[in-house]
Amino acid sequence: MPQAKFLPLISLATLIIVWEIISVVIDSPSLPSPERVIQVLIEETINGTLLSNLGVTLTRLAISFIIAMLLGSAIGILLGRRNRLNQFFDGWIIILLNIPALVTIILSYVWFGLVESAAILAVVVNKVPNVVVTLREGTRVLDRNLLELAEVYQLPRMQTFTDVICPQLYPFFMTAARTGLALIWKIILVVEMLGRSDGMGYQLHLYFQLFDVAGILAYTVAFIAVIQLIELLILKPIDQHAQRWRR
Amino acid sequence: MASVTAVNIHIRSKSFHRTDGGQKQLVIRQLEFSVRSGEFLCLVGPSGCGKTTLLHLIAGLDKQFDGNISFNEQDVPPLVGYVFQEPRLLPWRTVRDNIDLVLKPNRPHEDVDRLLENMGLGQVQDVYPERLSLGMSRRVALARAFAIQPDLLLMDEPFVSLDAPTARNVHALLSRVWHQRPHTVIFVTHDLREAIRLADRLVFLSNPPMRVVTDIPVDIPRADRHLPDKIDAFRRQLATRHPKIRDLI
Repeated sequence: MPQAKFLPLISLATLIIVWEIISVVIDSPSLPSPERVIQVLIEETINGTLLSNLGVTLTRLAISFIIAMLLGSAIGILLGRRNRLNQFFDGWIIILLNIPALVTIILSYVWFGLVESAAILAVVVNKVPNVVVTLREGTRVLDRNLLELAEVYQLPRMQTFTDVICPQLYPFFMTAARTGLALIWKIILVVEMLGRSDGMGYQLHLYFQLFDVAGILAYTVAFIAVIQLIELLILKPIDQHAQRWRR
Repeated sequence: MASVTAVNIHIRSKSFHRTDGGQKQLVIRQLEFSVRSGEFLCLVGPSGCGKTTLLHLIAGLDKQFDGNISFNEQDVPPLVGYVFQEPRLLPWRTVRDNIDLVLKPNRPHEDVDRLLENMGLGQVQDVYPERLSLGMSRRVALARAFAIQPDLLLMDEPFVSLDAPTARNVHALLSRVWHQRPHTVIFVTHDLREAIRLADRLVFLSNPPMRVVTDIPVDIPRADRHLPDKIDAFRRQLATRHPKIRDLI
């Protein structure tokens, strides 16, 4: 059996080989070979289209992600702490969770026009209820013993929040961030496809109209690479630092 | 210098609503006693009688009761050090950081380095609590309470599950800290020997609804408290003189 650390590499290589074989057997423009996709990827990178579109989408992603996380966390913590408020708003949250993403996007464009802020708003509205629900659960299971400790020792409110409450919410926050990134990635493309004239979603739409599958796959590969980089360079190090006290 | 706090406790009733929506459960009825400033008072009672509830009321963690608890010589509530039954350390902060967290910038506090050294915690100050034994965690919780130099120290069976030598050390340390800097202590235990060894006065509590059964000063000189004979003699004497508390002894 190969060593465990090589397994992911072998697994990835297998996937590419299978893809290669199928593309050779089918021999159709509907499934270009991996080399063809890489070639398009390189061309698009050199002529700048890929990077500029990726940049635009990433900017939108970052803005809507930050707004959704901050807003959702604040609301989630508040609802977790205040039972009456929670009972009142619970129905709203359930409705928001169940509105199809496409509906929020269309309504946002209809009500506010085909503008940047409407695009961001549509993404935020789709993501916030998820963050609220996750952080609300986290707040409900806060350790009462530690809150009592903070009260007896008269810790300032701010310190209670940063040193007693936040570390307990951390795993919930990270869950919200991870599922949030995945969700926003998917929604943002639809938002761009329907109402923006730049970004990955717009570009994919263009390739769709041209039936350029190699282009679509090239952008997909770039996409996956970016997500992996975010996980590897941002989320993992944060995780390791925050969990250093665990046995 | 922190002022010394006396506590007057008068609780007409304290009850808990049962979570299943059933009847109210009366935990405390007509409980009244005072703690003099600088006094070391032990509350002795059967387990489950409501001692922890009482400490929560005194600490101000639970305000749902009929009666009043007042702290004299103080307009503001006193600074309370509370050693809970469980250590309640923040797992994401090292031993040292757990103690530093509760220090008040505008109030005098113990020299944390010396305190940790005295309590045998000098070696572990950079360790996270999950790596400590329960006995060590309890000592950290004690150090945290001592560190703030509280006006009032509440202790809820803090020495349960310490091994005998450690318990002796910590007893001695508690006595020393208390002598160096006078402050009021309310100490809950069901171990009568421990109570006699440490306290100025014992307050015996009944089964729920809890009230004071009797109130007995401990007249053994502090210097003789380490002698088991003296402690046992006092205990036997209690049993013969106070038949009401015989089942607690």
